[in-house]
Amino acid sequence: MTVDEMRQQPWVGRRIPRQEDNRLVTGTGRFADDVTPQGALHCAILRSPHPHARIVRVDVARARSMPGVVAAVSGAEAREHWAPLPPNFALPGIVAPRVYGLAVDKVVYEGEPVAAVAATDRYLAEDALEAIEVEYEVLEPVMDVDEGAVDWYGDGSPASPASPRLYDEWDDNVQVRYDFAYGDVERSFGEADAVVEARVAVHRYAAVPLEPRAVVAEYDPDGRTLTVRVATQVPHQMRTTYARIFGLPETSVRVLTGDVGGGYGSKGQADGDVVPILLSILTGRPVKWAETREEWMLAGPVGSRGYVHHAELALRSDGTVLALRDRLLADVGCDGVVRAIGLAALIVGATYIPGPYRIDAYDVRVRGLVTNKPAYGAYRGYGKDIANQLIERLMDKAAAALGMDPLELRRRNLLTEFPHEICTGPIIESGSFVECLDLVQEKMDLPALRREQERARANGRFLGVGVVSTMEPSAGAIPMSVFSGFESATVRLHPDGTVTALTGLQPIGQGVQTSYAQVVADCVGVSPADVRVRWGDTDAVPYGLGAYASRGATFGVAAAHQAATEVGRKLLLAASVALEVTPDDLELGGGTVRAKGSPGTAMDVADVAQRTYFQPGPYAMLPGEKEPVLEASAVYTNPEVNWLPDEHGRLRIYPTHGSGAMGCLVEVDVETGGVDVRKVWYVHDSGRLINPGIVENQLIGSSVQAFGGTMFEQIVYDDAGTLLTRTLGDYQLPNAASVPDIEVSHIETPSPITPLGTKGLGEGGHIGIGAVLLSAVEDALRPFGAEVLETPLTPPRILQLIDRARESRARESRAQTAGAVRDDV
Amino acid sequence: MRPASFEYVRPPSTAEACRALADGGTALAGGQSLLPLLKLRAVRPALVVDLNRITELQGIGNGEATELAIGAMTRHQHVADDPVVASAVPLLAEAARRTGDMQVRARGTIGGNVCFADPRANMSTALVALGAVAVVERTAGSRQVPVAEMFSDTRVSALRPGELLTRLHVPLGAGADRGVYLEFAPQPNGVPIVNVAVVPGDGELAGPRIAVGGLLRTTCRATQVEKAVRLEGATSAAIRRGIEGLLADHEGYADPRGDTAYRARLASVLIGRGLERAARGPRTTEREV
Ligand SMILES: Cc1cc2nc3c(=O)[nH]c(=O)nc-3n(C[C@H](O)[C@H](O)[C@H](O)COP(=O)(O)OP(=O)(O)OC[C@H]3O[C@@H](n4cnc5c(N)ncnc54)[C@H](O)[C@@H]3O)c2cc1C
Repeated sequence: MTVDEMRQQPWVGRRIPRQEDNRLVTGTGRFADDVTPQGALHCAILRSPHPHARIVRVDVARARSMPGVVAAVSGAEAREHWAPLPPNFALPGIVAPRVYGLAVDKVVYEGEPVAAVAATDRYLAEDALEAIEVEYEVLEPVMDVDEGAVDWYGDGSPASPASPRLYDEWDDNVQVRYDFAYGDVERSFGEADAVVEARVAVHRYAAVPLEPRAVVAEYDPDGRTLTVRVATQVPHQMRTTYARIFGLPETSVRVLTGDVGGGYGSKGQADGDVVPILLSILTGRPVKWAETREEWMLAGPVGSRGYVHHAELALRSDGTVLALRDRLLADVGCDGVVRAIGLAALIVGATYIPGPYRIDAYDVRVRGLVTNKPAYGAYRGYGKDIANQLIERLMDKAAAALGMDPLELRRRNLLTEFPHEICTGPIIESGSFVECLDLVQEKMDLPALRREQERARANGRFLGVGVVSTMEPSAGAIPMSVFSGFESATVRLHPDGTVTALTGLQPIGQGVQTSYAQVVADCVGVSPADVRVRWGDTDAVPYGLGAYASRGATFGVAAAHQAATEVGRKLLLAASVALEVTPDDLELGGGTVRAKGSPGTAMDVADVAQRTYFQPGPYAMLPGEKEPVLEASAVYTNPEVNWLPDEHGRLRIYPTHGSGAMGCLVEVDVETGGVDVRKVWYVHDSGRLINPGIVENQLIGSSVQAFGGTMFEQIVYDDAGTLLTRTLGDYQLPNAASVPDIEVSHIETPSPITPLGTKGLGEGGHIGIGAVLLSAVEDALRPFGAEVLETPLTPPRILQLIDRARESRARESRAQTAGAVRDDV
Repeated sequence: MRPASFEYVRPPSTAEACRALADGGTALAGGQSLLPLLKLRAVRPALVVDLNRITELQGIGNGEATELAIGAMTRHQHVADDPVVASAVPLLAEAARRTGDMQVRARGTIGGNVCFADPRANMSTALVALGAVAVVERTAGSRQVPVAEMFSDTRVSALRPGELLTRLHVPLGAGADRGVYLEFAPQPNGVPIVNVAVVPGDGELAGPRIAVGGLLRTTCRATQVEKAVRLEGATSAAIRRGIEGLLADHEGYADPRGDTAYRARLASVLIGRGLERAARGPRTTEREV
């Protein structure tokens, strides 16, 4: 290919380096904490030392008189100046507590904000916190949910124990109740040849972005305007939320983001971040708050996972799955709706438990119970992991029960024809589940691994192999919530041939700047280097919804593509006037417009643009066009989203679905309990790829996070409800030396319902890693007969599993011997 | 968080540092343990005495052929890279090499590692097995304390107010060059759950010297294990009995990474592997667990 031909190649699909990397790796990004306005005050927040207590009295007088302190405010005082935090979604079956940014009369988790100070520097602000007097009436904390005492059927049985209630105005501690049933489950179980049961549980771990929460609030008392620079995934919704909380018109509120140092779902709500805003309004001065890691661990939206399934799967002897029943119970911390947005993950989980398999009878009940822990945050996976963890463990168990090869059992049940409406409502628009499984098996060279495993066992070493299928629903659009279902874009080709693309989507590390530039570049015939993507200034970009639910490649990209396509159309029209060639006979690329087949007849895109704007201008270049400029705005909504319940009460909130399969090789040291994850293979299909490099790193990044969560990350409280994992010394994140080798391969099955055939991605690794690690460790421990159904896979747990398996074997053989003796007699 | 305010001095000599410590100062060595606690306001010293300008506290010397003198302010990376350490007491180099990450090793010091008295400290475990002795100075004189006696409780050293650890004397010979350091950590570069150091006995009568960290509330010499192994041989049953003996006499350590029972098992496994490796002779560099 000549250089010129290469320039004509589309940019979509190319592995070009990320435009944002130079800025980020040289420390010249601009995060909220990089900005300190002149005269800024610094905010510090006093947090409850008790997980559950009534606030009897708060006295900030002494703090107020400390050197450098400009304002000090208690929750009761603050209540006069703001409205409660609004719920982030209001789905049926979910209740929302009434909560203010600073607690007024009760605290429900250790670390809940109770008072705040603004001072001339952060040290003085922290000193002043120590002068605030708070009197608490300590209440018994609720630190766990009792699996045996859940009222699944709403008839009060089994009787709920009288555990203390967190919210006086609630009847009980249940924040979400969700029930769904489809098909004749009873009959299918009755007709089954085999039924397998499992209790599958995942502990509490958290999103830990490199950048914790950070806010720079500037209230101008003269103009009554508020500018907030904040680390958020959803700048527009934050504008709406702040306006509502502080009683300001949205026209007076501007939210700025710039670079955001990781989100993973954790930066999708307003919580403690409203405190510095209040202090700015009260003082009329800029107020900055960049929280510490300890604050994040204590009071960030760090609850996630923390669930247990009790499930049963009914099968025919040939491996056909007939029905599935699940009771999903979660500990949702103090709240998953107002202070954080994790709660709906349980419903998403329940929706996708049938996963990529044909299951036509399904009965699920979900309960999320509040406890005195921090809020239940969204975290990469958002329920799709909850679903996968269960169904894949059940598949392995069923294979063992039926004496079938676990991959064969999966193949027998995987979806192969598309589009396919699954029993919970979503339409799987396209997919390649079987192909992914085949390819992962080939990449792993499974027979060779089995031989290696056998050799190792002979030497007293325990290798294990696991393989799972994954489904990756993306682009969630939730009714009655701030996580709505559209995205916006404006594309503007300037007179000099450069392009500005405005998007409502928010970059949080996922490569928006580069991949959107690739998409736009193709539509208007320039290079991505000529496209500047702008985001995150609510005064500059159209109302958009930001980053959540892996929606970028579905909603964000489609909106940008739609707008850029319209600009491209007008560009060709103008060029056809200049070149006197019909638009159909023109083509774009490499910064030029050319007549097809006669490369001599060509013009630079910049020339066409210059002429369209000024020489001679729009009347001559785009005659008859309603909007004769090289600019277009678009709003994209997806045709597959359905918010009107059908006769089964089903919605369709995720329009696109990726396919995948994962394999993994582990070695377990049965003396120490150590697990060495030697290799992960990940075959992934999220439709057409815009930038394979970005995609691969999303898959690896999400896999690494789930690896950490499954193996060793855990949030631990003592019996009194005090957090033990307050720093990153205690809370282990994976480091470069412990991360396994992850080999990614792609299949590209385009989505028929997005303009470019793309599907959302970014959470994929986090969906399958948990199940594949459990599966592989179980395989390694097969000589002991240990079942591995619970995380984290810490060394003490591994030894415990081996011990228990040994004990039960010993019991069995004792029973057999005893039986044999009796027989003799 | 930000530290509460404190006074700060950076004396140029041991004598002046001792005077500042006598005034109620808290020593600052590499800061890898002290600074995080300062930031959390978990400690609130009125006066911080920065030791980083005191050159006499830095470096490794073996003027005497029978021992190695290591200055308290010698950084972990220096210990890891030092050729004399590598040949005379390789287990100490290994313990240093496996302490934290590169940044921690570049700042953290051997003296700070001992004085912080964390029961899982790498250097402490290695030094206890080696029978090292700490030289401790104060304005009014100095004393020598076996490293094994440097720890009163978890993160409480046996130093008295006003005392400064200046040097560590590591005796050479008696199997020191054939010692083994092993640890088990949730991930490489992390603080271990349990670590052990084993120095083989020299000759028929002397059995191995064994130290273990992360099992009891302080780093300790596992004398009961040494005795059991001497009497019964290095069997896993003997080791386990020795560990049980230790736990009968002392309170066990526990944290979210592992309870005492798990630590006891891990200690038995690591000691068994350490003895085996020490017996096998020439040091191995392969990465354990
Ligand atoms: C990310 C990370 C990972 C780590 N991993 C490990 C690990 O794997 N293994 C391990 O063993 N450690 C680990 N550490 C701790 C590290 O080894 C520290 O270097 C060590 O614990 C303290 O040494 P320091 O020189 O930094 O002491 P400092 O933090 O400066 O001081 C520690 C304490 O000792 C006192 N002190 C220091 N020097 C003297 C002296 N000469 N005389 C009297 N008192 C003194 C101080 O007053 C303070 O109380 C890790 C630390 C971090 C931050």
